[in-house]
Amino acid sequence: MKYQFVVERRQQVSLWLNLLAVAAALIVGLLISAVLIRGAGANVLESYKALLEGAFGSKEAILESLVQATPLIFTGLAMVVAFRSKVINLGVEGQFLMGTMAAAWISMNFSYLPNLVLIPLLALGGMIAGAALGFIPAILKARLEVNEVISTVLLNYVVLYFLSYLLSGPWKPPYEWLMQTIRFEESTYWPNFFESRLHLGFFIGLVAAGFLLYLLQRTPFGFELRSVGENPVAARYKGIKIERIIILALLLSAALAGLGGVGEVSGLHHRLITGISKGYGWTGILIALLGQLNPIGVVLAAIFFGGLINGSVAMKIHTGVPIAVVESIQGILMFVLLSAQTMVHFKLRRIEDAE
Amino acid sequence: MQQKSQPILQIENQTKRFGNVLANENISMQVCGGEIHCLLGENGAGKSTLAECLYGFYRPDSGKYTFKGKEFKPRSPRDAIDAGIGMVHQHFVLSPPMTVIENIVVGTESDGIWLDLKSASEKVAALCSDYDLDLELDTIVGQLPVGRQQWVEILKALYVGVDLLILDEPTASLTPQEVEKLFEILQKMKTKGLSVILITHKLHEVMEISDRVTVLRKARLVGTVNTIDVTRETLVNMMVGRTVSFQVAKKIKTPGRAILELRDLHVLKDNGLDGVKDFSLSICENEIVGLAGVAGNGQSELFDAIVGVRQLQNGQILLSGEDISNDSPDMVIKKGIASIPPDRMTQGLLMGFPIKENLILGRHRVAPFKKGIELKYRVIEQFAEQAIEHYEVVATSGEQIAKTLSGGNLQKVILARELSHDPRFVVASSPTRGLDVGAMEYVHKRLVELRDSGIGILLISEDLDEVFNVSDRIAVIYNGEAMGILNREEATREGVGLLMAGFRGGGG
Ligand SMILES: Nc1ncnc2c1ncn2[C@@H]1O[C@H](COP(=O)(O)OP(=O)(O)OP(=O)(O)O)[C@@H](O)[C@H]1O
Ligand SMILES: [Mg+2]
Repeated sequence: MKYQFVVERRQQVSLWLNLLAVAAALIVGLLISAVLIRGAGANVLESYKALLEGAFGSKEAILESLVQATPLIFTGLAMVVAFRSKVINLGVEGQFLMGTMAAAWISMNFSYLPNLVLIPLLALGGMIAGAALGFIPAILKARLEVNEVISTVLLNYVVLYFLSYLLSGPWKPPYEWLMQTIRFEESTYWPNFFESRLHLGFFIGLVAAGFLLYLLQRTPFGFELRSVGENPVAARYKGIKIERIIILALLLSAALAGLGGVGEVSGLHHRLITGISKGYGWTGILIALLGQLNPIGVVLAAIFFGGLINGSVAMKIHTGVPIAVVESIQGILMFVLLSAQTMVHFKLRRIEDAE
Repeated sequence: MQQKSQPILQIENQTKRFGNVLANENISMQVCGGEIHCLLGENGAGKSTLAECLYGFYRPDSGKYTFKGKEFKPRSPRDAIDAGIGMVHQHFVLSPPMTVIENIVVGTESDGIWLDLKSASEKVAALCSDYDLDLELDTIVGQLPVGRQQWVEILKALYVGVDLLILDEPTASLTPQEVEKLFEILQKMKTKGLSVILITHKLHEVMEISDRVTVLRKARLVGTVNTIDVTRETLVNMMVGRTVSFQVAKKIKTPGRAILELRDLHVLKDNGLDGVKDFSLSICENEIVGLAGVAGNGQSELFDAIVGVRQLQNGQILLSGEDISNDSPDMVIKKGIASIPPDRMTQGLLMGFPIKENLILGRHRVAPFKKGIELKYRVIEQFAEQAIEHYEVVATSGEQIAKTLSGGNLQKVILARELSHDPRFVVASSPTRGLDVGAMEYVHKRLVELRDSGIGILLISEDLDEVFNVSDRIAVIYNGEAMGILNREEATREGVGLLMAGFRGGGG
């Protein structure tokens, strides 16, 4: 008897296998990164210790990692909605910024309202602003079949330029030399928790994830959304109004992104600053993929990535590993994790050669 | 004819499983040189799996192939082609926007990146005249009728010089004329010493063309027999272990009031040309009207118009007297029209979804599957279990993903979905395409049962056997126009055949 190995697609991937793949990928990623750290002249073990402790080593570290994770939960969820309905929303970055602008505008104009009114008002305003931006490509695609990839990407630039215009003049107090608004009144603050920077946005993110999971898996609308993503022709034959679903999916996706933007303004910075999004819209794509297009997966992936961002800072400070290497490590880990997720769908199987 | 030639292919003890589904268990068979060998078996018996393993698409778990005297271990279709095995899949893998010659040559030129189209054209033209195929090599493949696209698939295999060609249900969507032509091609291949493995569910085809038949049942080998030694009945018995009646028992029913009326319909094709013109037909309660016609004569446009996905340019559709001409697909479903689409994979199913969700598509907004704002998965799962049982879907459970089902079982999922909910009217396009004889018998019985309970049915089919078997009246469509309608008793095959070819005054 001789044996041979073949590669095959798996029918189903169990949770255990997934966890195993993640663990294996992390080990591989850390091994590769070790070479970089050595090359930069730092001690590998110490660096990793700093990374881990910086990410999840103490109560403060964990809370700060959750702060970093918060915007990514929203942009990740926004991308899940888009991917599941195969509406390619590459405008999450812009929709997120729309949310921050709406929060800033409300904060500047309605700060006389009580905090309990402002908290939901800010959330609502951010969602509407995000959705409003999403509506443009949505209607263009549904009615005129304009490819949403192009329209959503282009709108990002429009928003970005508009934002820097606002921050360089109309919304910038004259005495300020940074491009940012004034600090808002306390009445507009989303509450913080555990005496840390962790704010309401994180918990809203958790609720949003639960809501989205329910929506996708348990409601007719979610079923229709997934059906359109799977096979729009069959969906149409079976009575699903595709245009409607496309529009609603983009609006939902954009509203989630906008809500994420509000969190950063009202929960964290309490003002609108230049570069308030560190590419969260784009990272959201990775988060959604890493979370396997599952809302709960997105939360986990965002927390992991938040920890990575937060831990990297500690690593940089404590061990002097240059920032370029730190960022490469983030990229490497993301890469191996995503690769593992593809590979986990295949298996090696031993077969006999009857000889 | 007794086979005296040497086996060109020997399969020994092939086993293949998918997860815990056993698709092939210990199968051994031989194919001789210059032989047409049919592979027969129920839906899900493992025929396609056997063929795909041989073609290098799947790797068998164990077993051994000997091809042309040498051990053969394909790791990919490339290996199979290089060794001299070609395959025509049920769903073609041609590139529609490319020309015939480009499709044939692409991927076959091993040296250099430049295609030598000129010498290739000469070689293909020679093959065409050899096999008596009238094919313009510069035509865009997407514009060819299905039968001709299949020629291109076959030419592609002949061009690289295969010794064994596998065809998986090649006749499922061909017209009788196209089938005849295909069989001529296969006979010619045989006289040139090439071998053919043919998978089909149509027993008359098996009897007509094959030298030997190998029957599979539930992943196992039943046996290989010489075609001249057996009858259709023997084969059916080997396949399903019981007898099957090909003629449904039908009580005479007097048709009731008109339930669906099509009045002067005018519908366009995707390319803006006329699909259906001035088409009128009415179907009554307690009645099955068969609509015969060569594929591509407006049937799919008519289907689309009835289910509401294609706009009427003109005319009216009435359901029990109510005008539903401009209803959207969801309203049409709500009003009780069930539909079995011509193209199951693209129009009927969500291939990446589990069976249970496919079974509620279109009914996901009505009780009992929806209650309040929620889908009731417990109810859905129960329904899936029942449907799998009634329609004998070969599946592990309602959770199984549709794309891992065999071709015939996919069709059963659609049938179960559409015929389970007391429709008022059914429009069925080739409902038994790809079904085994047992399943076909069941579906025909079910259609007659529905008719007996008062439902009207429009059966759009290219298969005259089917049309004659279950219809009460037979209409013919040609070039988008209604060619006349005949009572089943007064219709003859010859007459209907003439109408299908566009000769008015055929028929009775
Ligand atoms: N990729 C796959 N994953 C899991 N199961 C599969 C896969 N492909 C086939 N099967 C299972 O293997 C069995 C045999 O399938 P196969 O397609 O060979 O049947 P078949 O004889 O060709 O049937 P049909 O006449 O309906 O085409 C079926 O139960 C099917 O569900
Ligand atoms: Mg098959």
